[in-house]
Amino acid sequence: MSEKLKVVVVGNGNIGAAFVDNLVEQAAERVEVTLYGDEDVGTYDRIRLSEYLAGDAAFSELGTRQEDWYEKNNIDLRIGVRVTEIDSERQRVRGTDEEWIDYDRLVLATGSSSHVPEIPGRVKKGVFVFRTLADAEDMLETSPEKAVIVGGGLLGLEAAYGLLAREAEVTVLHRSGHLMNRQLDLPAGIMLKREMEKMGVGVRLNTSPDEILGNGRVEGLRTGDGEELTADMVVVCTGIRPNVQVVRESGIEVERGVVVDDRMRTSAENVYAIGECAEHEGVVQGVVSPGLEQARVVLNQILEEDSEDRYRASVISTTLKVMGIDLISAGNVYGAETGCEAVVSSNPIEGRYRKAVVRDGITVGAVLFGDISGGAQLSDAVRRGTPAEEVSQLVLGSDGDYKAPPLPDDAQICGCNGIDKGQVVVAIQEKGCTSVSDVGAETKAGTSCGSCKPLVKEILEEVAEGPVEEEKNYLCKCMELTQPEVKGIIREREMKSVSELGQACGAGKVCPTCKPKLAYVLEEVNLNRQKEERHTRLINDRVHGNIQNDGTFSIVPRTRGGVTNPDELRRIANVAEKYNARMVKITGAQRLDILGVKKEDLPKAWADLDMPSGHAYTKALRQVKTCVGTDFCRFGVGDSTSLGIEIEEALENLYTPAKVKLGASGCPRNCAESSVKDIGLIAIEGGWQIYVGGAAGMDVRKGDVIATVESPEEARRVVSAFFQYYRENAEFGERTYDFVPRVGLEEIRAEIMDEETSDRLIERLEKAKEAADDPWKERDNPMTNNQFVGTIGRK
Amino acid sequence: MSDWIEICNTEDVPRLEGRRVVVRDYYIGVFNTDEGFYAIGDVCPHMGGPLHDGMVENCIVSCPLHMRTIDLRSGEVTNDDLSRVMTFPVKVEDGSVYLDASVLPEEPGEQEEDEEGAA
Repeated sequence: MSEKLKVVVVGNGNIGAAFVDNLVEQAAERVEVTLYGDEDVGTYDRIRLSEYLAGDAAFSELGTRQEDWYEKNNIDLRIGVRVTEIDSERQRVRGTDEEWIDYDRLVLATGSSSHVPEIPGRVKKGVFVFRTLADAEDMLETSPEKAVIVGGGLLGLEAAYGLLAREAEVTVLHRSGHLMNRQLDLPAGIMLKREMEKMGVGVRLNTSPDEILGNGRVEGLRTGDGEELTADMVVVCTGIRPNVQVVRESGIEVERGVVVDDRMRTSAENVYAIGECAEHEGVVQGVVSPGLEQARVVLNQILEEDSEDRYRASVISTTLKVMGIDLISAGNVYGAETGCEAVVSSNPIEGRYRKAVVRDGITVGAVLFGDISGGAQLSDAVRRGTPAEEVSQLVLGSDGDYKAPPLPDDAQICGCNGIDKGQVVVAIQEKGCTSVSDVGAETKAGTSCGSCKPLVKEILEEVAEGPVEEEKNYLCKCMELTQPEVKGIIREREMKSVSELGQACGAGKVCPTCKPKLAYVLEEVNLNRQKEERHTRLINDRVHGNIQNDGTFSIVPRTRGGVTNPDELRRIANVAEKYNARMVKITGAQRLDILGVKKEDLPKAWADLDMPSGHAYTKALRQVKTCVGTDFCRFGVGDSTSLGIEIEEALENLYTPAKVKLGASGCPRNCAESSVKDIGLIAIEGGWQIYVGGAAGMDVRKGDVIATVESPEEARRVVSAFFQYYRENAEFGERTYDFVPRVGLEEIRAEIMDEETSDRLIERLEKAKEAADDPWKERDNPMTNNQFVGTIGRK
Repeated sequence: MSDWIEICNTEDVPRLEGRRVVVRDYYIGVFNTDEGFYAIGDVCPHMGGPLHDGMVENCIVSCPLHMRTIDLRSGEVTNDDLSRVMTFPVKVEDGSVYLDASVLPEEPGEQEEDEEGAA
């Protein structure tokens, strides 16, 4: 082939993107790819959207590509462009950007859209579908108090889970007699309902919405049973319809989806369809793994003219995490037909249910709920039609010493990326992968929904013939000591200094790297009553300024809440001039940064400023960002300036595992960007919302609402308790946006909202605060010889 | 031939810290370690960081800018492929620290330009 093959892919969802991925991986030099995506963002993993909605994952974690990925791979990506015309005669397509693009091969992966049934009132504000990133973002904007989900299928429960994590009161309406009736049989559906009710989700079965109530905005929903539910949000997840309008108009054969044969060819020459828009033998698939199989078939058709690869409509097996519960559903889950029998193990008390459906002696279906051990083997058995005798022990034997047999090499491990066991084994044996993340980097297994990670770990152990150690997060790498181990030693022997600690266990004696970490832990455990040793601190904490690339330092005086006055500003100006600062900069956190001051000038500059340290150089509470709240702003509903300053005074001079940014906004317009701070306060009518774990730096993450309180006093209490909890429990260097999802919002909330534990947290915080002081006071009493001297000795 | 020059007193450099001295217009970092006093060139071969402001332990100093670690005895960068830092023999007598400057040229002038900016 002298000329490159022009491949046009319509649709940048999971299937379209996976197809393009594999295409450029296998044949980058031979093809010229144009990729259309009608959403306003690049590729992301739709399957994980509920995590994004729940705040468990940032958008950047949803399998997105680096911006230059497309360019590097020579892909003409057309974001936000919808294809509106297909001219299969002249082999070209045209999108909303009006440009005709020629193709040699056209791959349709247009996916599907939420289908909204004709419910009266469905056009009211507050009615959503849950399908795209834009949907999730719209829902987050609304932050509902009471939400009704219409549809208790997979998508509906994902939406319910996401909203529950956002503190909404959720009710799910489902038309059938049990939840997730496509994936679960009745007993499993009943168990799921009970588990959800335990979490506080309301479930209404055998009912549909009659009308969505409200005057322009959603105020409630009346069910077919006549029950009226109050709600400020309704999410419709009743089903999906293939996006085939444009294809139909082009004359290509379409039934429910685009009709394809075993090679995924449509009725038009050189045009293929894959994923949720394709209909094969009357079936339109709605989950990702068959789509990936179809994508592979098309890839082989395109790369080899006489490829024997055919789509075989493989048995659907899905591993899901629904409402935090693991489940697997494979093949025929009901077994209602004559000749079907079931092997069942059920423990409704503990919420475990395991079943295999057998027809004429071979395995045709399986459901595992709550306990998915041996699930990979069972799914594989369904796929192969394994004789019943071989699966009965798999279903029943998980309680005893029974160990599931190793999977065959061609058993599928990662459904999302179509990786089988053999590929994982090759990655381990030939590419030297030793951890789950290694295997993911090498093969992509476990990098999409992550549900196969335990399976990958099992294979690692099987190959290594023993347990595989997870990489530990060592505080002192040289001595292989973790933070909890170090804390234990400090507590047990009541240690007061890094030197004592080093003598006892060697930490910090082999190399200098971990000394600042040890110093922090010592300080935290001793509530600031440790024996301070300056050699354990980084230069920033020895001279209380931020070292710059030229060896000079920056000075950020504290202007609490970002509020200053003419007198302070004059002093700042004078200092900048007198000590030849190279720049004065207003930073993002409403601070004035005086940059480029020599070390020997620091104490003099601090004295001239006569202002406290803003701690911009260290891991501590930074200056609190506030808006003008009720003092000036005509929209303000809470005095964010005063609250921000009070909290700043209460927490300043205390050190933390990583820097802590705090914002206080006087109304939901959120001018202090509180929802992307480590701790954020937003005034709402009648109280304050408190966010934790937000970030807008290298990572972007919207914080989680940990509490909504009525008074500034309560807000201060919650913030203080969280601050101390973070000080005590985070790994050194771990920002709140990693800490909160790692520990879990519920866990943290339970600790800091419990009156007794929060009392104790605040007690310790206050005790530590008593012993803390403004470090810039060292200007008069240096801690070490020549602490602020540029050059010593003879010149 | 040795060329011992008195550079500072021992108490001028706190234990497990470094300070800068200037000898014949050269920046030199002096370090007070549990293994004795050491003197090395004070400019990190990575991006020119002031090594005397680094962290010290077990004859290793880590640069305050990007954490390159340098062995005070050999001047070798232990965690990157970078050129060696110059090292100087040091002795301590009667509370004074002396450095053998024989490797430094008598006349100043060969110093690199960018060290000017680091002052």
